[in-house]
Amino acid sequence: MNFSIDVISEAWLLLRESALYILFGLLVSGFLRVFLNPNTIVRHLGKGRFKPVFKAALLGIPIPL
Amino acid sequence: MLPAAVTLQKQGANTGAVTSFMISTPESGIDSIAITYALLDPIMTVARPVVAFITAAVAGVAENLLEKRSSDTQIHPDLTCPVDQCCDGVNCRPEDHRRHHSLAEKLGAGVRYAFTDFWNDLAGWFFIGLLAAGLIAVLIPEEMVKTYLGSGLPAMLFMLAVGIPLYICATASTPIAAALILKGVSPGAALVFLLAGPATNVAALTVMAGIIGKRATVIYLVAIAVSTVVFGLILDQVYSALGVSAQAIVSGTATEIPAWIEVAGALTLVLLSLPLFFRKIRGAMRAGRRYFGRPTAGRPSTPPTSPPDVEPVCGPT
Repeated sequence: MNFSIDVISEAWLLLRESALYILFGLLVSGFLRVFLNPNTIVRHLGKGRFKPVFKAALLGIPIPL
Repeated sequence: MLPAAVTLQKQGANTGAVTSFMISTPESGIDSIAITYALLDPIMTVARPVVAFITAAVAGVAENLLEKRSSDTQIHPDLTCPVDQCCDGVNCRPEDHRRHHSLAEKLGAGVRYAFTDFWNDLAGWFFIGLLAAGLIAVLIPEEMVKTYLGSGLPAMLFMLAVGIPLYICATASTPIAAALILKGVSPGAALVFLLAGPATNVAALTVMAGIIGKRATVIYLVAIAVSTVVFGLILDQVYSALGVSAQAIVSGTATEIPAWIEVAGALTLVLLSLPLFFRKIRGAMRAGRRYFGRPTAGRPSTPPTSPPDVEPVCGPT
């Protein structure tokens, strides 16, 4: 019993510490989804052998999936 | 991650670009960057996306260097309207397409995505991550970690061995990393876990072999393994050069946010998750009834009309 209370209170502390940041991250991700759809990314990649690789790496950084 | 990679490839992106997108997208996102800042420290907050970018670029370049055929496929972007799918954007001039919705409508759609789609995909994993972190905090003795996982190459390789087969998304892996660092795991080894965990898992690797081919999948794995371990070792050097202890920073509650606001935020997340949990419970109960083969007496058997459980984007697909 004590054990599960300990686990849950540790988890609750982490939740408290991170909740606001997660809400913020979700909100920005939501806006990003509207303005930069993962499905339309290819439009921004362009052609060539290596340029699309770097652009894809860069565009993938903020996108949450 | 994988569905996006498939559409990317269908639309004509080359293998290197698909690979690099498949690495940088799951390894880092706005949400995981924010939670890294909350639970870990500023160095980690920067290191995580930067190393994700380098890993992705290295893997993508290796892929295209080793690829024989030149991919000059035509690019067909999917231009479907992201607000309400009102139009597929094909027979529509871009200027007109952009003006289909007002800014307010777009922002509204963004908020909807944030708190329904994104959170629904994340919530289950995130709470599992929190509980796993709680278990680590309570169960694992600090002595054991100090002896076996303190620092150096063995610790990195261990994290790699755990992270590669395991599926855990970037956001959910963060509380686990925080718990590990608190127990004395080096920040470099934690970084290996944070990057290798989300980028690979057993189920995804098999699917991936189908999308980009077996050889490309091997290159993908090797690039991730080598680059995360190398950067993990570098990160440990950075910490010792700066004379910072990750353990001390993570254990300190540095935020000046008043407690009641933190609690309000936590409760908001829990409330947002309730519909999802009720849906899961109902789904489980329905499955249970089907399993025990008891037809609902007196009622004509209704076909299951509820939508199937939301496919976790953040899950093995």
